Amino acid sequence: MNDDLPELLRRFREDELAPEDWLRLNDLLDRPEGREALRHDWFLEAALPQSLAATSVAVRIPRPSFAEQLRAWFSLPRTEEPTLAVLQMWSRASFAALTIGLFGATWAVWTPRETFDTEPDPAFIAQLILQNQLPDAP
Amino acid sequence: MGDEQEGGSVPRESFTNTLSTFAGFKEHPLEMSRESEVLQRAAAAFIRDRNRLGAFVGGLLRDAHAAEDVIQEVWLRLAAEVEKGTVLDNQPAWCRGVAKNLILKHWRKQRNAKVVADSAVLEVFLARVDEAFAETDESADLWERRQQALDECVAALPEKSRRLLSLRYEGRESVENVAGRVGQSFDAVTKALYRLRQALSDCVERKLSHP
Repeated sequence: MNDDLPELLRRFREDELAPEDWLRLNDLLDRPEGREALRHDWFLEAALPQSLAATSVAVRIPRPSFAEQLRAWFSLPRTEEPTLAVLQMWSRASFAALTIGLFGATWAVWTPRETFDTEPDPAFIAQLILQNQLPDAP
Repeated sequence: MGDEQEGGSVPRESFTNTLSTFAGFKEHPLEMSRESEVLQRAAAAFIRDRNRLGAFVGGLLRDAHAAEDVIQEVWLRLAAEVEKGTVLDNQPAWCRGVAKNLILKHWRKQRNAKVVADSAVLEVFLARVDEAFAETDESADLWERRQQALDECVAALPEKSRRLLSLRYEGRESVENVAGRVGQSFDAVTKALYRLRQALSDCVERKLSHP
């Protein structure tokens, strides 16, 4: 392929072709290799925006959130081997049960609770008896 | 371009999607008439050849928006022709022919068109371009593979090079503007873009010859 052709195609793109350039371009396009070069050049021109957009999208794909990762982790395992799948499910279920158990135990031990005395205060009982025995005011 | 359309135009963003939906329409296959089957086949073939036709029209027009309008108009005319019952032996060639006439009409309407004044020279040029694309009529799937190869080559470029290409081809900025944005001279950016195009072209060829 003649070295002039890429430059002539560039000038055509930029609307910079002089009348003699047009004649030269037509001469070069008369040859199969010239036409092939034109196809490749115009393909690149048309396809580059698509490829660049595709690359930008691939770069910008966000990482899955923690909740999604957790959901994926707990979802059914994708394995062809049934024994392995059952083992994986069992280990995950055990881990989940252990986690829940630990949380439950921590809550049971550390959460402050209201306590009630089993032995009532005698002064309080005496006051109650006294209140019930007095006539209504005034 | 859009103001001269006869059958009304589909909005630019949704055109390909609408066409894809139409081409893939198989909800009631038994109720589908023969005419709609033919039209559906024509739409599917049009979509398959869409990138190649886009390169042909975009290469000649050098204006992405005007090129998209021409492609939409070509589809409307193709659909009308198929609905009339016309049998097209070579649909891609027919579409290129219609596109060529629309492009000439567009150039004639433009007062400041910098296209060559000598119509004989222009006619030879258009014939050679048409010949260049006709040579791949039998291997339209090559364009799909070419696009995939280019995607891989672009993804492998360093970030700086991709940014330069993105400003020029995605952002459609002039070389002057790109030079200003990246803080380099006009000549440096022109050379860099030229080398990048060359490198991508070589990369695509390598990938196609050694898949």
